[in-house]
Amino acid sequence: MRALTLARWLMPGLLSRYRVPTAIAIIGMAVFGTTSTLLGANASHTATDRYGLGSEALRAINVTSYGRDDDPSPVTAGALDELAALTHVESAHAWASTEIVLTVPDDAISLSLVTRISAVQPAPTRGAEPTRNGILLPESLRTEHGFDVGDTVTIEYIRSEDGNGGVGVETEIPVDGFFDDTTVGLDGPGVAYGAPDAVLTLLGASRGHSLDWMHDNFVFTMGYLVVDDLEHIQDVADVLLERGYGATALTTLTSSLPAAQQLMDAVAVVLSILLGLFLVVTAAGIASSVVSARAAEVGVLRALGWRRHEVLVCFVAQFAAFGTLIGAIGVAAVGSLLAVVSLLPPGVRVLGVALDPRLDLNGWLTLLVLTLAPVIVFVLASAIPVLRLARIAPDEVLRDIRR
Amino acid sequence: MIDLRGVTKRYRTQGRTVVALPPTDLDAAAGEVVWIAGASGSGKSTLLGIAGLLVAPDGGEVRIGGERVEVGSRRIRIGFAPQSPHLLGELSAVRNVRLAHERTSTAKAEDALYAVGLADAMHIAARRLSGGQQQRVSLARAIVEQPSVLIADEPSSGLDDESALRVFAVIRSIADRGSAVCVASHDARVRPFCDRMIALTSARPE
Repeated sequence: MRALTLARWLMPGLLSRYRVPTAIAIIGMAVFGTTSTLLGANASHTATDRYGLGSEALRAINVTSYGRDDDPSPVTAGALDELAALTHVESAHAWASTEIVLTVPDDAISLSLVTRISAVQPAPTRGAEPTRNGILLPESLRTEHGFDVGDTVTIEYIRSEDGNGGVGVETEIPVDGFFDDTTVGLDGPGVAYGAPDAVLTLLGASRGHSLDWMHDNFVFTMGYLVVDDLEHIQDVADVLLERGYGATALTTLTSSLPAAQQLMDAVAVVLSILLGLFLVVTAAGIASSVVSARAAEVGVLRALGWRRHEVLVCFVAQFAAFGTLIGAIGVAAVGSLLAVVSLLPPGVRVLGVALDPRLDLNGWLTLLVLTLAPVIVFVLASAIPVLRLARIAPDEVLRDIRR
Repeated sequence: MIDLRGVTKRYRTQGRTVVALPPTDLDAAAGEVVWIAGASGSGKSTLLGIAGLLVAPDGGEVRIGGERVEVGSRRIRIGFAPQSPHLLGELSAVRNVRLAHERTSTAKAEDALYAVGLADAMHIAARRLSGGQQQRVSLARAIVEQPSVLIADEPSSGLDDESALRVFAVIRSIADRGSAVCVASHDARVRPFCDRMIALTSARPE
């Protein structure tokens, strides 16, 4: 009991005397902990983060058929519904395209109106995803012709006339947003995006079919499946190939991606090891210093009748408390830094690493380890010096100990 | 009260055996102060270590209250005031004294400090006290549990006249309350406070 009492009495002095290494340890915890957590989170979230290596685009598999009615594996709405039910498939999307003409002052621009599949297409730069009847236009049209979100534009599409060719029909639709078209995406240049049923309605009109007919019978040129994890792309692609579809995943074409993800995992591990070593060196340094400074006093205590285990308990308790304090403050600092990061707009990167402060199970485990590690490290790293201290014989006091 | 008969101690140092303490007798009755004098290296501290049950003698025996005792015996209350106080500097005087024994209360510690004349310095951090005050805290720590035997090693070391006399007076008062006291000292100022003196000769190679 008196051992713990003495430990409690000595703690403030210990913290005061070693405030610099304590502060450095806490800062180290905060920096390494935050970086490690962010890197770990980044690596973990690559499977779901649209800004990361595992964005939906990279988890997407392009499903193709020959586009003929006698195709043994036609990509129909029903077939996509079945594929959507496959294990590891998050979602399935049919891709269609039809030609439209956009009326602009003194001119007309031909565009391909493509089914909006946000997973594999550029994100809106202004406005939002197209609604049921709206359209997402290229940014270049906004700058060249002064369109803005909420405007109404006139388009012309072809409507079939009972097998006698088609006629152009004009209609007005709202502009829901714009996307960056400076880089050509998977859908090629000169595209605009519309909601699936809007595209299908116009496409059906050009062929003389109703929307319901298109849903039930139309064979799409292709579709996209989004898989839940990069690791499962090959499995799903194998199933598609077995069923007679063409299956291409961007990820399988970029072999460096898994290596990059592994590198980020490895960096997180290396940082954790560095943090551990840093704590060990700090704890051992403080412990050695304390033992040197306390040898004479402990010698007197032993002469006064203190037993070895009391000395051991007293100093182990101090280092455990020291480690607990560093762990608690360090993790609080990590939490604060992550909270600050969470206030940044999504997609912000530092040295190419997306700052994603979300904590999954691994993130929480990292924080738990960060809390407990200093306690364990401080107790273990101080063990040898403290055992040496506890072994001081009572008669050492007669020799005026100066260690 | 304490009776050492023929106690001896040898140390091995640099390949040689040194007789730190030739066969020596020492006894102190309850209420008696015995002054152990001798030059440096004569074995005073070793003799005190044996008397304080901190050092196991190579020969001879130690009896306290007529009972033979060994190093580490905890049934006997022995107060020990080392030559250097080695107080825990950041703790107050009263907390340093409280560390003397598991059962030492704050009230007892304050009484002991009062007895050594440190009533005004009880709650001052030990490192802020003068050498003489620290020596008296060390003495308070040794006497706080009313020991049967008090061992004091050079208690006036580095003290001015006033402080030294005060320390010796405290030691005398402890003896007057029934303790057997052994004081090792070079300091002749202790003489008036002692009942007897024994002189040790220098230790030598065997």
